[in-house]
Amino acid sequence: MDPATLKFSKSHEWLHLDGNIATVGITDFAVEALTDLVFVELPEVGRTLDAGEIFGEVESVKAVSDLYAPVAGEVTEVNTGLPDDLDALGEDPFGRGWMIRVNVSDASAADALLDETAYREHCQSAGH
Amino acid sequence: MVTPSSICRIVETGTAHPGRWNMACDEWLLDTALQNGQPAVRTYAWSHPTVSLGYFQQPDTLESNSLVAGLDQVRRLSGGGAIVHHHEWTYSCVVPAGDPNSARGSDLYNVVHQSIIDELVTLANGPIPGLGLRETVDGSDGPALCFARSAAEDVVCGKHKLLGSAQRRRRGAVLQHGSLLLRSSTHAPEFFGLEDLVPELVLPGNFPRLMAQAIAASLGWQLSHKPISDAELQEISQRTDLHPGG
Repeated sequence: MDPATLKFSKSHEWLHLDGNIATVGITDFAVEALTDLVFVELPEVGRTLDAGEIFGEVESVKAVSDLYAPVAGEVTEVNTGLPDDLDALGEDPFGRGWMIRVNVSDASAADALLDETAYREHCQSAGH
Repeated sequence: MVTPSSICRIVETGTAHPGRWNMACDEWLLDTALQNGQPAVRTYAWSHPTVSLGYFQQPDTLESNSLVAGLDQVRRLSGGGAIVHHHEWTYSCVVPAGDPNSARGSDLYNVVHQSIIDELVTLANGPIPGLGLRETVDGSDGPALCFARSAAEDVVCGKHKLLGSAQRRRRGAVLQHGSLLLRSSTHAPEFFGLEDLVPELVLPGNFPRLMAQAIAASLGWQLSHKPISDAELQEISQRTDLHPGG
């Protein structure tokens, strides 16, 4: 997916909206900062998420980090192959590295997220 | 996000607790920092030998290891491999979201580890042969036990790993904790501690306090000693149910 068409959270998740279905993953910036991912744990299909709620966890360099839902909704699909193909996160974070698909409760909530330009500025200004 | 403080709370220095309490306390510190923005450091021990598993390790990870059979087992919030906590000092430090140290990533390991190395060298009144950060990594992430693994940030003495740490990152804040081996355990006799490797160095009784202060200073924090209150003790105790095991 072209990052220019995506929305981003300050906690480094990306979101692609197609109608009410949002595809969610973590950004190239996050993957690079985490380095050497060794585990990822994703939610079950059917789980209901609030915006900002933890939907999964990743481990890299002995550090476990939480993943946050950028919008509220119900998980309709999970990239079940990802835990066994973590290279996808580094090689194609906006494509093969997708994590979950969510039937969003309110698609307009995505408007409050950052566009690519604002997200890249956020990464620079946050100093990380 | 609350504004981070540069006043670090030294919570406790050298107290021994059961494993589930230790894990509950570390998580409480992380969540407290998310609420009040204050850094914190504690140094502690384990009231009885206990295994802690890395967050993603399975409960039966050490099933085939008869030396740890029957020991209490807890799950850490952090990653990495299993640790047999017996003769060691453990530290935890919490970096609030927005503190410059929170953006260090894995370099936070190096900063804290170097501060502990420096403290040991000071106590030894001179260099300790072989003591330092690991220079070469063999990439051995396979073993279940942390101290059989090799990471670039480890503190080693010669070929022996003396100190390893792991992290949990939550909403911009970081919990980092680590174990400094003091001597070999009957439950993990293949690993050696400071007393085995540097017998001429006798750590003073206040070493846990010195270690806590060194960690805080290395992160640019001022110190504020504030023990855990009765109300906080109750909060932590309530969390122990979330950390079954030891």
